[in-house]
Amino acid sequence: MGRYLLNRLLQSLVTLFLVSVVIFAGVRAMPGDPALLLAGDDPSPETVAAINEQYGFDRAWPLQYLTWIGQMLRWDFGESIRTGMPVSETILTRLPATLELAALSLLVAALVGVLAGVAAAVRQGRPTDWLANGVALLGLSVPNFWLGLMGILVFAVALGWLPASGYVPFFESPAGNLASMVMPAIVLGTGLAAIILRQTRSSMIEALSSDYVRTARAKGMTPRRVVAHALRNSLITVLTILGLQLGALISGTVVTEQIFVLPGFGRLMVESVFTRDFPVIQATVMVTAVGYILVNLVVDLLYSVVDPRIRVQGGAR
Amino acid sequence: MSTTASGTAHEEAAEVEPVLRLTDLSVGFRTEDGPVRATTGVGFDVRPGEVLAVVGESGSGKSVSAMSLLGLLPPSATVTGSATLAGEELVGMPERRLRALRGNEIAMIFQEPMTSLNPVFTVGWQLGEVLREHRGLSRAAARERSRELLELVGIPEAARRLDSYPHQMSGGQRQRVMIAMAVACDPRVLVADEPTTALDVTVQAEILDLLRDLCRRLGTAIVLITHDMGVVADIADRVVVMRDGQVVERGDVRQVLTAPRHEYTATLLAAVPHLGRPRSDGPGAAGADTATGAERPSPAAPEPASGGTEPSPQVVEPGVAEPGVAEPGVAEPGAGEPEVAHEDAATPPTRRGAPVVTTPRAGGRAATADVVDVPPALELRDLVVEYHQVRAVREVSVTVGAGEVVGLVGESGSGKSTVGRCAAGLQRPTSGTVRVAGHDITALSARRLRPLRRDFSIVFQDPASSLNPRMTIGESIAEPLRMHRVSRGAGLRDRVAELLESVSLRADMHVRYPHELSGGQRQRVSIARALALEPKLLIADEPTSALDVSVQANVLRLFVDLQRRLGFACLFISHDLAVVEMLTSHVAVMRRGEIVESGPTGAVLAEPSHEYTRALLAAAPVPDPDEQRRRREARA
Repeated sequence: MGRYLLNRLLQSLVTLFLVSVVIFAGVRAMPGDPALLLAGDDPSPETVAAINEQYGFDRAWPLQYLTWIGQMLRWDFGESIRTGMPVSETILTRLPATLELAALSLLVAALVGVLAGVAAAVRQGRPTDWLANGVALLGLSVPNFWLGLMGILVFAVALGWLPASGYVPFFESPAGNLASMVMPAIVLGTGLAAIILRQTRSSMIEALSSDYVRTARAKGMTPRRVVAHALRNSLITVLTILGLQLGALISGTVVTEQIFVLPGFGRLMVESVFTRDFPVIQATVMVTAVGYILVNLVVDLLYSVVDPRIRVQGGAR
Repeated sequence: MSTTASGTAHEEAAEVEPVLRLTDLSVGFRTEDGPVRATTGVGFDVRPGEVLAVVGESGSGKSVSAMSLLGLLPPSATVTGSATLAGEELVGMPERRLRALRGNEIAMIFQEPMTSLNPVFTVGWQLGEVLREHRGLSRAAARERSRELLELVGIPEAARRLDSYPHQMSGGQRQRVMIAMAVACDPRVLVADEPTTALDVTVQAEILDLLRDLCRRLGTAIVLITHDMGVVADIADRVVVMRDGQVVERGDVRQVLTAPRHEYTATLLAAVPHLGRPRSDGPGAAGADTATGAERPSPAAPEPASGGTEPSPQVVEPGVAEPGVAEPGVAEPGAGEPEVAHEDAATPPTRRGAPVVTTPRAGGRAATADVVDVPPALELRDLVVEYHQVRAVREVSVTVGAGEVVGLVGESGSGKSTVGRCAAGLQRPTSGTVRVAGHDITALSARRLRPLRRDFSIVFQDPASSLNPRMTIGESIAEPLRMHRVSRGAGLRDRVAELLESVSLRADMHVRYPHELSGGQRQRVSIARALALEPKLLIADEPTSALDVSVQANVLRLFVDLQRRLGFACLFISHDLAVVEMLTSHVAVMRRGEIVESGPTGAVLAEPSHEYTRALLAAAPVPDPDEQRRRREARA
């Protein structure tokens, strides 16, 4: 177990290293002077000189790379060209909304997806199954932005139940925060819910026909307990899909935040791309990569919680 | 559906009311092509403390009947007739009531201990679950009772084992856990569906002893579903033989096994490979004739089984009973009894077809094979295979001369399949050398090895998963021919047709897909594919152990015939000593990665020098109740 954890941590470090190299090389592969690029449109010679000094573009590449890494490790991403604010601060103000959005939509997706998936599998080939599959297909085929716009139209404009846009920090008003996040979370979670539903359904159907489920039935277990036997096994595959789909969730925040005008990380990315704010682009990509790797690390650790075959080494023979 | 009631059974038991009684029980399934009958009018009864064996091959409806008792069949099944448990009707019983009976009054043990336990829960939890459900025990009480149950079924360190997960236990231990689970609530009836089929023979003997013991001690009635006549002889009081969904014979175990009334029972008995019938005859011919002739369940044959207890078995080679018919290897399969005696066993079996140059087997065959015209087909020297610092194979040396069939025997985990994979170039040994037809293939890269692969091929145990389901069998057979650019176009088609016919399949079957074939037919296709390039060496890894006995008999006969005709050498890997005796001239016995004994098959099996070989021989059940009882007493 300890060895497994160590292994995964080392793998994550390798991935992080590769990501940083790609970002580093990406900026340097751009045509022209990187200092000029980083300085944005129409820079003054002083800015260029300052950037050159800050990033050490006149020094050798390995040294530049190490400096950059060293700065990042000290939570120093430089300053935004657009606002002049330290990038690290900007990121910190933008992260909470996105993290909340991602967590909530993950929750919505997992709850809806797993429950509906189990229901569909247990009632395979019957109306519940048909309905669940139909809705899942709908959830997959309807684009986020359209669903978001329709949501705003119905629940904000027509019914007036929820705010159409904006973000209320949780500590200011928990109720207001939830009201502002409900729709974005559901909109963003739909696609993932559909994927989880399909995956849960198929692995549940497989598990329900397995020998150990037959054993559970032969033991006289109630249907609930029989489903529990199958579900714990099915979750192993569902977790895999979850880990892989989180990438899609992160890119989904970009669109969702645009629609609901949430001051999140995704919007920061879009803004920085449009304004060619390279320090911010570099930082956001790096932070996203770290987040993605962390989440997958957690998923891998969850495996070992769900599946004792990973947690406990065999040793009977 | 025969008439004879079991009058001869137990005099005293006859007065006891049967606890389980099936009357005219029929099971059908609704399918897209209309209703399909699985069983018709099955009837039998079991009394407390009695073991009833339900015998039959796959598709005979024996498992379906058992599952129908517990209402475990899929919803598409329809059950008619009657099945009563202590007078209470099970057919049509509401699900709630059935659930209260399952695991409580009727419990079930399944064939696959590896998959029948839930991998994500501890053994103790799964055991306790039954007690909490049916007995309403608290967690602590259930745990305590679970520990007692594990002790009852003979699992050491029961308290610690409660917290183990299934994957931490061996197959035999898992089956013990299954049994503990089944007897947790003192059921009246225990249905055991092939409980030992997936286990090694030595483990099988232990599990059967345990079942018999529980049956006596707890007074449980056992319905034992099996295909293995040896198991029947070992444990059953009475027998019901099923075929195509009907009961064809029933009676006392001794009567059914020694004087079967129905032709099918006789055929089934004849098809059982058992010791004392050495190579070259092939397993009993399909007809019932062999059962009456040379091969009766062999109490008379000198069984080396009793091992240590009997000082020295006679020097007579088992099965050399009729020296008159000493025409080596020419007879039609299944006709006479062409025996190969001790010394003969060393001569190549190929008499017609390709003449095989004599090979240096006379001396110590495991050792030197240098100065010869034909190199040995396979030469393994000091083979060592390690996985994660565990030695799976330790310094194994085996030589298979050209045209020779050598058996490699062992139980699961003995490393025999690993040796086979090394020989087939599918696994690189940690050290040692592998030479196939004179070429050292030990360290060859996949690319360098590829042209040499013409010389050897492998047949796996499970024909269902070793044929590509998306390819027709014709394409599967043609693939090696295409890969090695041997033939194409019309020539290829002809060759595939020829190969199909050589394994007794119709040439026009080449358009079929594997799922359209039976298990035996699929294994024939695997053999045809393996032989497509006329290899010098065939590695057969348990090729028939997934098949029904009568099918196995046919496939083995085909194998013997092909080997004789084509003269390929073969490393035959098996757990079944009887099969090995039938096919091979030499045998090596493996345990825990080492060869403990090797030599001419007849000599090794008749006079095993290693205790493990003796234990193996003693553990393999024979279809003879008296012999089984003798062995049981020797074991105890």
